[in-house]
Amino acid sequence: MRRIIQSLSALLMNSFFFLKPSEGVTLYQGKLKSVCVPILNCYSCPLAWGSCPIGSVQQTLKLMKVPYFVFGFFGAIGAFVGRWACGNLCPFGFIQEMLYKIKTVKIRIRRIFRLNKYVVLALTLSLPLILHEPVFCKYLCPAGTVEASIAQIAMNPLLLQTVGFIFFLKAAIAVVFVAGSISMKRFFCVLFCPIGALYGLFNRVSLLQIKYDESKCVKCGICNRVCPMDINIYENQTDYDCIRCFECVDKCPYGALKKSTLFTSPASQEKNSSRI
Amino acid sequence: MKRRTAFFVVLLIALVLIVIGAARGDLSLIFNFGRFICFDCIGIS
Repeated sequence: MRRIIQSLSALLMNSFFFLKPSEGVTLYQGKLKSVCVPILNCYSCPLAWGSCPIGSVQQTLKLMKVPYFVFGFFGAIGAFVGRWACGNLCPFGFIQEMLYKIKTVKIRIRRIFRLNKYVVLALTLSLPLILHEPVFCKYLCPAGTVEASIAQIAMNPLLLQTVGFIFFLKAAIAVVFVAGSISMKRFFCVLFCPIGALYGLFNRVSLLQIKYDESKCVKCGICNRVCPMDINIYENQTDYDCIRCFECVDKCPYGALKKSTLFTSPASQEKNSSRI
Repeated sequence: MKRRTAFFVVLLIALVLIVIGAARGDLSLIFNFGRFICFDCIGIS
């Protein structure tokens, strides 16, 4: 079911099929571009309907303005569902999960390195104020390269004449991204994504939660094996890396994990599970 | 602070920020960024 939602989301957010490169229409330019999508999706992708929130934040900060709306938008999404959008809506996360299916040597990312995305988040929010350019988009984000660069250059070969160092740097980062995603679970989300880092901060207080029943858990490790983020949900159900994909809930053979909300009382949870 | 209280506080702050942002014209600012190709994003600048 999650795969269907991910595919539909990727398609819905990138379904502007009315391009006319011969007439100069290589991008959707309608009113929907004033709406941010809740995940990483480059707004220069020719098929994109909405705007990337982290791109919008940086462009606003670059002008020395406070992006109230996008911060509020992040807060509202985070308050309701935490990182759920990462696990269910993000096309970039979906691509990484598909790449990880390729059979090769797999590497686990150590806990300490996971904090790197908070360094990226801090730099993403601070450097545009100092350098007056969208630093994350310009120097790091592989979404622009994967989703937008190649397509835009293909539609407008004249752009090739302006290709320089930055393009090759980003192309190299895209290659590292693909290689990393093949060998590590959600390589970019775990280590670099500033949107995931932001949403992760809300996991503890978000409406959507995972309930853990210690009396039913035998620590078999199935939840960890199926987790796209490689976390141990039984150690911390509000982990900032939990993308609320509920793979662990669906696959736990002992029913130790359940979908829950902040307002589900332990008694009603128990009643529901006994009814099932 | 209890988590339920924190949820309402976060939600309230988020909604206030959305209203302030909408009133200050953030949406048209986002529209103006999004309607053109971001050459920085695609590595051409």
